[in-house]
Amino acid sequence: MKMPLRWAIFGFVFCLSLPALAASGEDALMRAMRDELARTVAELRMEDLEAPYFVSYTVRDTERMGTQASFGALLPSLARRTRRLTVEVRVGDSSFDNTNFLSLSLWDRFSPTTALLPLEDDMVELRRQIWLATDTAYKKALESLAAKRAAFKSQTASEELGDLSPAEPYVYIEEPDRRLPPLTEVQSLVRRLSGLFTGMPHVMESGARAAVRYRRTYYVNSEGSSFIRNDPAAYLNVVAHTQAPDGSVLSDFVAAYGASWDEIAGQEDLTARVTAMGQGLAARRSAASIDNYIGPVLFEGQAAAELVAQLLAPRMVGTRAPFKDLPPGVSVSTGETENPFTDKLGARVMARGLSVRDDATLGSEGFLGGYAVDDEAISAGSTSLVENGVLKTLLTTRNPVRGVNASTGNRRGRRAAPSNLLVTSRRGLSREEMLAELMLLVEERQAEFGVVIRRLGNPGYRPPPVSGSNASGSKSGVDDATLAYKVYRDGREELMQAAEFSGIADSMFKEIVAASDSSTLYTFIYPSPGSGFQSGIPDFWGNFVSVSVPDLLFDELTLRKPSGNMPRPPVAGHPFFAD
Amino acid sequence: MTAYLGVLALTGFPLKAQEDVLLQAMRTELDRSMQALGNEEVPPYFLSYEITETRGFVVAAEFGALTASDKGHMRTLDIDLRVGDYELDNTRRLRDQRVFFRIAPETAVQVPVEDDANAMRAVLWSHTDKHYKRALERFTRVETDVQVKVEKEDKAGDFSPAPAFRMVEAMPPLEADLSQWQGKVERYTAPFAEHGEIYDGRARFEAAVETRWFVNSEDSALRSSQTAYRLFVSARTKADDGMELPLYLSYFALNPAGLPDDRTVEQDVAEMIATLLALREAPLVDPYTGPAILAGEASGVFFHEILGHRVEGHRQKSESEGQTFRKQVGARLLPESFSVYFDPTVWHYGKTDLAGAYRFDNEGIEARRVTVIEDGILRNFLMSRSPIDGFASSNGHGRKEPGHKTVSRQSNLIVEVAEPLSRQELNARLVADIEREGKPFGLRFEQIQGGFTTTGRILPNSFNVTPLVVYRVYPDGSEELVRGVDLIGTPLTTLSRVVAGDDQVAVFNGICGAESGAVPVSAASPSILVSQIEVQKKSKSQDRPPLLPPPLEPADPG
Repeated sequence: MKMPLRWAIFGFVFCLSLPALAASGEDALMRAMRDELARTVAELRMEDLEAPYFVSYTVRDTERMGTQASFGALLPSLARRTRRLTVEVRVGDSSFDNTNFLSLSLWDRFSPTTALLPLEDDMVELRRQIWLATDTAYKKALESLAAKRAAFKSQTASEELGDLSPAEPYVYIEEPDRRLPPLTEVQSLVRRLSGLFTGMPHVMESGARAAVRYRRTYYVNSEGSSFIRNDPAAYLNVVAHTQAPDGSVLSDFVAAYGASWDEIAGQEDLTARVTAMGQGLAARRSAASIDNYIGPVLFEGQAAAELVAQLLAPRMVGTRAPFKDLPPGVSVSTGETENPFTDKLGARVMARGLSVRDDATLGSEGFLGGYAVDDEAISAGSTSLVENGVLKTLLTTRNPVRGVNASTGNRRGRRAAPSNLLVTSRRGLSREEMLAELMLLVEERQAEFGVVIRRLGNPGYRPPPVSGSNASGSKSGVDDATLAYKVYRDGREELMQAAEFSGIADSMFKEIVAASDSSTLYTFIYPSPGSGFQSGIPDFWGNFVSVSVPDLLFDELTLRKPSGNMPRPPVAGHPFFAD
Repeated sequence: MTAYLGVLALTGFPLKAQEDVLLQAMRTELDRSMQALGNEEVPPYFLSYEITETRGFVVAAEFGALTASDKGHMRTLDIDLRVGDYELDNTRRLRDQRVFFRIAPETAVQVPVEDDANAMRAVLWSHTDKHYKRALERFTRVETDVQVKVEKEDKAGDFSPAPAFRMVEAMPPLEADLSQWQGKVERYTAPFAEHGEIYDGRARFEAAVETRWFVNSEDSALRSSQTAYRLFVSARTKADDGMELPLYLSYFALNPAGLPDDRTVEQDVAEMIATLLALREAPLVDPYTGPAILAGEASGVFFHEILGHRVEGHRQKSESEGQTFRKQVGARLLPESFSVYFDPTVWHYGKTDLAGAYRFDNEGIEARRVTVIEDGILRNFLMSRSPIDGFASSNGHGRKEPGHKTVSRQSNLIVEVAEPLSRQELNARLVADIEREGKPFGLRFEQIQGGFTTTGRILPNSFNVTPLVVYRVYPDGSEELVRGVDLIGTPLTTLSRVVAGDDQVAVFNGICGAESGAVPVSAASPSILVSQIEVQKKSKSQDRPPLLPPPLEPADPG
């Protein structure tokens, strides 16, 4: 979807800075959290050991439904409500506490303490579960702090960072806004969309999935912050794959996201998009493969947005690996991968003229990554990340990372994540000018053609691995191009079957030579650890992040035919079409 | 037996299967696949499809408050596709393969929950092709493995031929009411909230109708359907030394009317609370060997763990298994008065419904009674279609959870004692044994949570079952509740020390987990006297009880 960039500010329903006032009229769940927090702060202490210096409770009260269909028939669905409590207890002080530490002997102490709460507003039972989880979390914290202190007596950390950055108390309460469709309505749409494939003989496997969620997130901490925030979400996706005669697996997807199911069901072009995807797959089956290509590449529309989603978005997030006390030769992954941009603060990471901003305050006009307050009760804001090509800061939580000591208000789930990322160009070109720039580069190289990529695959929608194939997945950090065209010097376009990226480097965004004057607004799911599919029923596996990205022209990239063994096509034909 | 358990058509034509959309779609696609793949250089010699449907709901509560209430309806597909022949096929275990790599890559495939033949056939087609390609790859490895490894001890082939069965059974309705059971689980768990020392007090009710559709290339076509209603109540406290003290109540019935009424459950919960509180104060037991009675359900769990898992046929075949009983066929394992059989065809024992009953196993073989121990002598093994030397065919015990590979598993284990003692006589025998051996006390195990048993060759071939309620029995006949022991031992020695059983049979209904997943099982056994058992100290949590008192009263709103 192309649209001019327009910003909208979240409509805050109720926002106060006085905790006492906010408490009036709260529901039983919040009262139970506050009551137990007060008791914990006042009384919880083990004899001669330290009392907690920071306690927080988060409860995600979630009603969700998920459904899926294949070839016009429903697969299992799910409709469920849960109230999940997460307790954070810190002992020590903000410069050195029990967090950011991993020891093999305390492996089970590393994961957060969680509990399922009663679904009813029974004050005593809500408090009982919070009490038990707090007790567990406090004991875990004491053990971890003791082990961390012991480890620091024999080792030194490579960098001295605190463990919790300061924050001003903040209170935010949003009124309930429960909007959930009947499950049958969601089932009806996925059934209908999946049934479109009964008219596409070339598609081997396909499916439609949808999930809708209404969530109220409750938060309270010992510093006086608290919030109640609505986190509604809905998505629908349709995936399909086929095989070319040579066995190459070709796949594509259609995805739609919204803050409510109505925003998805109201999209009138879903049928047309699914049909177009099927036509694209059919065309690619008979298209030629690309041989090794080194030259200019223009990313248009979805392809530019996916590129930013897959490569740039994770590099805008500050990461910090915990201090590990492990025996020699033992390696444990906590899922925190080092962001190479951490060392590039103040350096140029993108082409001059390009800037990147994260803005959590955008909550309408198609932006779905916004929120009023993050998961640590930090008020949402706008963060300038890259200015004129130079990296200024990274997105953070209250866990300090090298070079960034304060939270940018981007705690989403267990870690930092972008909200809405906006890539802007100081001098944007029209579409015609972008194509002309591409042709100039082609001529400079005296090449036969250049490449325009209009769609990229997405890691969440890859086809299941087929026996005999090691071709699925991304080898370069970017999924394969699914709609890529050779553009000849006479303007003629030729569709390619698929193209895989090779030699993608962190410096690639410095190789951008032009950006367009219009942008594509695009939403994707930024994976969050701890969330995921349950029982194979569609669910949410991360946070929505919206990106607004202009078309991007790269001076030189390497493309090749997707590598790996190709599985044999099926022995028998599809039963529906063979009959 | 209620009407829905009636068999509509058992063997012979005309098949009711033709009226079932799913069976018909499965048969059509299976025949088409066998024909198309039959033209390949290495064609499959066997193919089966099994679709398992579960319809039902789960409600759960803790301390009187509802924590979950979910309805479910799902169908999963399992495919068994074999290339090679009955003697040697792609399923043969590769020797010396590390456990990590031996885990079957299969996962349950979700299939449409609507009776849409086109959609179902599309899924069957696509997954048959994937299974065929995997089977080809694996068969090549199997053939190499046979060439480069020493000859295996067991010379039996990989798959046994079996006759075709056809049956279509009526699908029973779900008879339980969700909202009614929400109220029940809340009511059953409310009393736990009155005791601050109880940190966990929950109940879970599951109502399910499970229907299985099965077809294979040997012309079997089956639809079998059965109900299960399970109520599980569990509670936990902690002794001051940190020891976790759990107890549970488990009820199973084939229909809701078979479950106990509210009054009975509430009385059981009250007794459970009293026992939990008593356990907190109970003394610890040091490691001990001596005579003991395994009473009630504890005896059934004992036989399930120690005997049952070791008579599962595939364990006599694998080169990595301990094969405890492989050479013991015809040898005495128990006193002459003891017989043990597995019978999935019985649906009740006395007034208790049995969870391990079924009509056909997961390989389409008709369920049948298998006498494993007759008059104390080992006679037979539980067999799937994986043959072993001397036991060439299946006896209807090939079982699995959807998404797993079938192996031989237990069904309803039933222990019979020819000349049982009365309860009083059994107790008197225990006291006499204590005195004769000069022991300060004996033990009586009332409740066992379950346990585990190692049947491989790398670790000692032993068992460890977890008693929950244990009494010291003194020479004067008095008893004292104790805590902190696990019952351990090795199977051959322990079974040889079983000396007598009484006439009070108790039934344990549970879910057994092993390499083919979780399957429902039962064990019915009288209380037994064992001349010598061994107990060791139970591992215990080092965490202290909660530091703050429980929030029993709502905080003052002011």
